[in-house]
Parts: sequence; structure tokens; C-alpha cells
Amino acid sequence: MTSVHVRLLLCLGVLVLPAGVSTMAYWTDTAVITSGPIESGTLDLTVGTTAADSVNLPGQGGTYEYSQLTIANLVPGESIARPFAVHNAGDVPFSYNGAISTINDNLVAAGSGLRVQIYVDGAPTNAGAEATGNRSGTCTGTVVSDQAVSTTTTAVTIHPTNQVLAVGATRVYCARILLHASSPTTMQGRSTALVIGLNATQLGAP
Amino acid sequence: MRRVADALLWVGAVLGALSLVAAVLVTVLGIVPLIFTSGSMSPGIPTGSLGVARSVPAADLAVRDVVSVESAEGVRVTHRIAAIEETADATLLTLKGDANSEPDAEPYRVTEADRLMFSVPWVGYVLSAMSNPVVLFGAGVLAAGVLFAVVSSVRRSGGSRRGGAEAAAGGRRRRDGSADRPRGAARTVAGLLAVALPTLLALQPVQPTMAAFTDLGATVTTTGFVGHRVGQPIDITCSANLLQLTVGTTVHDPRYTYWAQAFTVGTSGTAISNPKQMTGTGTTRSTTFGTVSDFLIQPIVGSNYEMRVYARVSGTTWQSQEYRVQRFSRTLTLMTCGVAPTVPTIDFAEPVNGGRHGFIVTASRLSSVCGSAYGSTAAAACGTVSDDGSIASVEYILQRTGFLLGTRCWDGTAWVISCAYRTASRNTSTNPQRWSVPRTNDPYTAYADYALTIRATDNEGHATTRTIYYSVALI
Repeated sequence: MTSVHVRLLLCLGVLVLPAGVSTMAYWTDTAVITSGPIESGTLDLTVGTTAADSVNLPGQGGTYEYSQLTIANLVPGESIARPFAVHNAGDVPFSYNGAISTINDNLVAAGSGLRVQIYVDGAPTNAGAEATGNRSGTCTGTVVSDQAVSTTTTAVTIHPTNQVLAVGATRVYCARILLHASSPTTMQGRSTALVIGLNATQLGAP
Repeated sequence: MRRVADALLWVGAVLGALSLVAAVLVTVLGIVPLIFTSGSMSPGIPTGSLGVARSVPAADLAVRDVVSVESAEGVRVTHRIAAIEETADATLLTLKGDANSEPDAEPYRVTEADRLMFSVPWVGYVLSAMSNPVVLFGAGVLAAGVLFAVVSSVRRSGGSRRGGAEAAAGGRRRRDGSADRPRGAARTVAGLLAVALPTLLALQPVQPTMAAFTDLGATVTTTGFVGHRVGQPIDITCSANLLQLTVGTTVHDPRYTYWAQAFTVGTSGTAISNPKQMTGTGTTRSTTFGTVSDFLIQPIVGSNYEMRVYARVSGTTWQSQEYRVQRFSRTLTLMTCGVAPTVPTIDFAEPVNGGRHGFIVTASRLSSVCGSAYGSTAAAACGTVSDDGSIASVEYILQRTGFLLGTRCWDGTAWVISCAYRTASRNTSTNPQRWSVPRTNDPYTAYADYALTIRATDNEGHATTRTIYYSVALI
């Protein structure tokens, strides 16, 4: 055994720790343990009115005011339809859903009041006029949610189950907001606003 | 070149020795290594860091510690403690990644946890690479080659340092002709390490990693949904035809229908009819109320009522809060748009209705109650009369029945056949005005029944009559 031999053998020790540790180490923060190079991803859900304008709210959280999603002088039976879009601006796919609520219960009544219908992959059409009290919005696409809205957010989600959005993908929705024809006269002059809370979680995250 | 190889060999030997010591420590002390595959704890702990943690009991944990735990799904998560809740059998930890906006969805139930002691950036990438099968295989071949070379070199030389090394080098690469074979072998090994590892790292397939990132609370708000406020009708018209009342209004909004409803007077008046929709074409709408069919409560003669006109959004219950109002009233035969006329009110002081009197009692009561205040002369009866305007006249008929001479009427002096209204005395300086039936002598000298009718007329010509009955008898 020469010094060279000893040193050569000791060199092999370099392999011991990584091999040992990497088999022993917990791969933290992952759902599926994969070996290989690690890339940090970013997850970013953005929103907007249409597919072309769907990159508002970059980064975490935030509030986007959709000023066109509004209607004044509502009489019972009137409705409005407006588009909105959800976009994956990150570089990992995510699972998301939205909850719809109102800022107050001014337009809440059993069996009537303000209702929201959400259509997936739909486009809005609006007809009628405020002066004649017959404004009517309609949506194409598939209806996924049709419920009365209130300040209780948990009851009204956009999708029954969370949806997956691939990197760079955009999902276009059509929202139809309706004041039910049987809404009580006490709702005259009352106002509220909608809040659509969107939450995205990376696939497989705890 | 040889010096470089020699130095590399020294460095490799030292690193190898340290690695062996570290591996032993990790095993003996129960230290938990962690590799961070996501940036949810960045920037403090970037992706690819190696963390070193030790298992501690839950009681030793504190908020803001970074701990590594397994979720109910078996996923290992290393995040910072946001909250600790003690329960009877375990501790619930709420964790949040430093880079996440929200805590993890579910709390973690633990009795012990691996608390992070420190972390080193980048090392995780290297360790990650080492666990790749290709790298492991390459490292294994390398290790086996070195071992084989060393063993065969030592065996062949039989203690000769140089010869053994020469054989080792030959075993590895068959580099014949090299004068310094052990050093050649070292050079080869170092070269292989230097070239093979980066190459293998670079050759690895790129895979996106899973990260517990979230983007929560992205919120879309709207500017508002406002209910319409139904406007007040702009006018009300009223016309009457016998016992029918017709109310109308002008259409001022195409969304509306118009409804009329009768109430008692005042803002808190009660409805005496159902709402009745006003019909018509063009710019006006109207409806007619008949006496019986359209009222829940029939209007009383002489009382005032209100007709209100409301607007409603067609097909809904949305009715205007404000309305237009028109007073109406009725007489026996007519509905009138406007208030009913007021009529005088008559009260009796003495005698009183249903009274039964003796001669003396009657005379003394009349003089004490009526006195001179009720007229310039002594009174046969007295009382008051009032009106919102002025009283034009007060007249009386004092009729006597049940006496031998038949029905007679008092003319102020005697009982006569004529039973016409006669003027009563009035004291106009008091309020209410006092009236009295005049007498020059006592009218109540017979046991008989008496009926006294008073008719008061105001300056508008509206009159009220009232009659009382009393008798004089042997008490």
C-alpha cells in the first residue's frame, strides 16, 4: 500500500456521503419524489376580461377590479352577461377553483335575489335596454354553476371540482348575473358587488 | 501535470475522509438530511438546498421554527410554523412556506418533528445528481475500477510501492511506457472524476419538479349591482260620477304599471280596498272604483278617505315607495273628489236624552244648568253648538206627545199645533256657542213625553240635526 493507494481509496469516500445522504435524505416539499436536477418553478394565476386580456394580477394574490361587470337600475328579471378569463402565467400546471360571493347581503332573498350562472368556454350576448327594463344577457357554452350568491362564499364555487390549467393555457368563462324575477320589493335601490376569489395550488401539493 | 494530479489526489483524499466521517455522524446521531426541491421557502432556503434537521419532541417546537413533517398523504413538507395548537394526544402545526401567501391547507398532526438546524444552498443539486441511476452506475464502475487497480497493484508488487502502482495503472488504462505508473493512475482517476461527473450531470433529463406553490386570493371584484328604485307617479287625476270614482295618472316610465288603492286618511291610514291596476292605452292609465264591488270597507257618509296611485315594475312586486294622493269622500248619493264638508256639532246640556223629570226638578235644574247664560230669557232647554266655520242659525222643534191635547209644539210661549222649526236663542260670545229654547212661562206643566230636535246650520249651509227624548212624570 503506497500513499497513492491510500489516497485513491480515500477518494472513493467522496462517493459515500452523497450516495448515502441522497438515499437517506427526505425530498422535502414534493408530492412525488423524483430524482434529477431541481428546477424551481413559479406558479401564477392571472385573470382578465378575455383571453387576450388575461394577464392581470401577476404574482401572488391581488385584486383586479372588473369595472365592466356591473349593472345599475336592475329590475327583477333583468340579467347581464360578461366574459372573464383565467390564465396560467407560471411555468408549472396548477389546480384551481373560484368562489363567488357578494360584499353584502342586500340582494339576498330565499328563492330569489341575485343569481350568478357561470358558463365554461362561452361567449356573452346582451340585449334589451335599461329604459325598457328588459336587459337580458345570455351565454353560450356549458353551464357549470347556477346559484344565488351571498356573503357566504363556501356555497358557490365556479366548478364542482378543482380544474387543472396547463402552463400558458387560458380558460374563458361567461358569467350571467341575474336578478330573479320574484325578488322582493324591499330590494329596490339596494346595491352589492361580486367578489370572485380564485385560488390556485400546484398539482400534488399538500 | 503530475503536480496537478498529485494535488487533486490529495484534495480527493481529504474530501473522501471528511465524507466518511460525516456519513458516520449522520448515521450515529440520527440527523435527517433534507433536499429542497421547491422554492416555497425561498429566498431563505432556495431550491436545491441541503438542509440538516434533527428530530425533536413536539413540546420543544416554537412558532417560526422551520420543521419537516409528513402530511396525511405521506408528502414531506418543510415549512415554517405559523401556529401551534396543543390537543390531548398530539400537536397540530399550521405551516406556511415563506414564499407562499397562504398557510398550507391542512394542519399537521405530530408528536415529534424534524427541526431544521441549518441549510446549505446548491448542495442538494449535487446530492440529487448522485442519486441518478446513471451517475450511480458510473460512480460504481469508477469505484470498482479503483479498488481492483489498488488490490491488484498491491498483490503484484508484493510490497514494492512502485511496481504495485504500475500494475494498478496498467489495470485501469494499460498505459504502457509510463515511467511513473502510480501517479499516472491517480491522474487517470482524477481526470475521470473531473470529466465524468459534470458530463453525467449535464446528460440528465430535465424534469420539472413539483413545488408546493400556491397563488391564493387572486380576486376579481366588480363595481356593483344596483337594484332599481321605482319612481313616484307624476300626477293623479280624479273624477266622480254618482257613486263611482275614477282615478287616473300619466305614464312616465315604460317599465311601469300603475295601481290605485283607497286608504283612510293619513300616512298610516289603513287600506279600504285592494290595489287595482289602472288600464288604458296611450299616455294615461285609469281605473274606476264602484261603491260595493271595489271597497273592502265601504266609505262612510261624511268621512274623508285617500286614493293613492303607485307605480310598479311590470310583472313584479316592486312598487314605488312614494305615491300620489287624492282625498275623496261620499255623501248618501255621491262620491266626491275632495274632502267631505264639515257640519256643525250639537250637544245638549239640559234636559238630557232619556231623562225623567218631575215639575219642580225640571224647573230648578233648568234654571241652575242653563241660567241666563244660555239666552236672554229663561230656557226650556239648553246646550252648545260648534263648527269649524261660523254658525248661521240654530233652530228647534220641541214636541210634546202623550198628553190629552195630542201632539203640540212649543213656540216659546205656548204649546201650538204648528211644528215648524223656530229660532233658538244664542249666546254668540262663548265658545262653543250656547243655544237655548226660549220660554216666557214654564212649558213642562203636564205629565207627557217630549222630543227636542235642534238643527244647526253653518255659514256654508251644511246643517246637522239632533233629537233627544225625555219625559215629565210624577216621580
